[in-house]
Amino acid sequence: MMTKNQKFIIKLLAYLAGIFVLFFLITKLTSLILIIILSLLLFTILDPYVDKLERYNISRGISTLLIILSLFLVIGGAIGGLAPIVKDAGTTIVAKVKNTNSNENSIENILKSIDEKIPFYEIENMDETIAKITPHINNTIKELTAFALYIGKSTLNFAMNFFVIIFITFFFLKDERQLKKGLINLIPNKHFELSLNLMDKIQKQLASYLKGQFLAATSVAILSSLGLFILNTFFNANIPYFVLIGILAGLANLIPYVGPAVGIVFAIIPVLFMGQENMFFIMILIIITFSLVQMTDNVLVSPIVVGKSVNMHPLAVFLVLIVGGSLLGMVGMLFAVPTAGIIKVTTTEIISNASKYKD
Amino acid sequence: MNSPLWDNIFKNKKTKKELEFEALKNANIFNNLTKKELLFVQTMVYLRKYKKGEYIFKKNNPGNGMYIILNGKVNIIDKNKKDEKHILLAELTNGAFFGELSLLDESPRSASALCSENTEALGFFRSDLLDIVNRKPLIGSKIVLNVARILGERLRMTNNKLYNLQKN
Repeated sequence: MMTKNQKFIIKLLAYLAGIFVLFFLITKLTSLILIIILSLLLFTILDPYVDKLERYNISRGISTLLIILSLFLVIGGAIGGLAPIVKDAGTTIVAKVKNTNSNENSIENILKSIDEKIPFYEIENMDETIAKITPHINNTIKELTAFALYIGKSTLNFAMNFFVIIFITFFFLKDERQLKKGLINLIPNKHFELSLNLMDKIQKQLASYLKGQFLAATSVAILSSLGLFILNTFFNANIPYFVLIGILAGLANLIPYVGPAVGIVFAIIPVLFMGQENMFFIMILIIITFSLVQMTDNVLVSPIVVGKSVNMHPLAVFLVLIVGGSLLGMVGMLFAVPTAGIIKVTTTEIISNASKYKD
Repeated sequence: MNSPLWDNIFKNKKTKKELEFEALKNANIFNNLTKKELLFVQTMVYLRKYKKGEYIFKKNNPGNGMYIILNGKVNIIDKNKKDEKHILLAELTNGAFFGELSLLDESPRSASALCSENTEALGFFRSDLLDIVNRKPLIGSKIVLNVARILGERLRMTNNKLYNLQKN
């Protein structure tokens, strides 16, 4: 017979071994886990739409197929519409930077225009500054080329993974019931009702959270594009690619605190390169526009669509962003807060529900 | 090849799925549902196996849904407040269902369900009912109407009992 202490030690060792195996699997199967998580997220977003189609007596299989095809159409349309703009913007930026490098006068021109057109900012010793900046620009060009190659490679990878994600999501949607039943069958009777309740609540919370994030990002994208369009129309701001900048600002908005600033930077960079007469005035207008967009989002849109269930402390958000950024770079930062939100929702539900099922 | 013995054995042997279907068909809560609708409901229920002495749910746990007994025996019990001993409120067997009130809200279970034999039961939960209402509103409304009817009958019975008590 084992003593209580021996049993405890064996249990502890089993737990430690379990955690070790889990970590080993996570590190070895990161991409697979990421694909499954993304498929689950996509499933959570699309499931209500498949359910809605089923109401019209369309079978689950056909409903799923219709929703997936619609998704392809939307994404295909977005890529088709945006690809030429992104390509054009990329070519222009690279050409501008190359031009700046080949002709040192261009650097001088940009610095001079910054010196002249932005008040309270003075560049001392222009020649020395140019000499300092030129090697940096050379490096930037090298990095840009490498980055372009990386983007190309990543896009190809992403496209392949995207199809895998869609494929998995299709079966998650179509066979949702069987999968849920299969999973629930594995759970012992003691925790059966608790698990079922948890699964249901987490799925609902997640769906509303993701829907909220998506709506908030869309509203920021539309408002930013509209704001920049107004600046172009009424103030002759000539900000190029304002729709693309708006979409990027909407995406960046998924990163709290940092996102809005990133949106402003996206809009200011082309203005800096163009070196217009009223550059400073336009920059101020851009900052005002983005501040107004943020105010509208924070006061009107987010409280309604995102809700308060996933409110996180600013310090937690900051730490989560650092972790996301160090793990997966910019993409990691983009997904860090939603992922942390999901973990928070799940943990909160587990804690609040588990206590109700105590004897 | 005809063998009266084997023919009879296989004729009467129903598959698990057929038994599940029969149980659903006989439960009042699924009255007026067509065969196709019942088959859809069958995809929404969970078959659970319990050992003798195992609890299906305990008193005061949040109520999530109802169970239909496929085979076995379930005792609905409560504890006596004075001596903490179990009081048997009801003994349920094949085809009986319990916990249907939980299909409407999450209020705590009023008693515990303990298996007095090895039992197989079908679980049907509030989240599944809401799912049905969302995906197949016609089936959902039929089930909700049946739940309302059962609860109405119970209320009528309780009122009668109360009336009789007051009269005495």
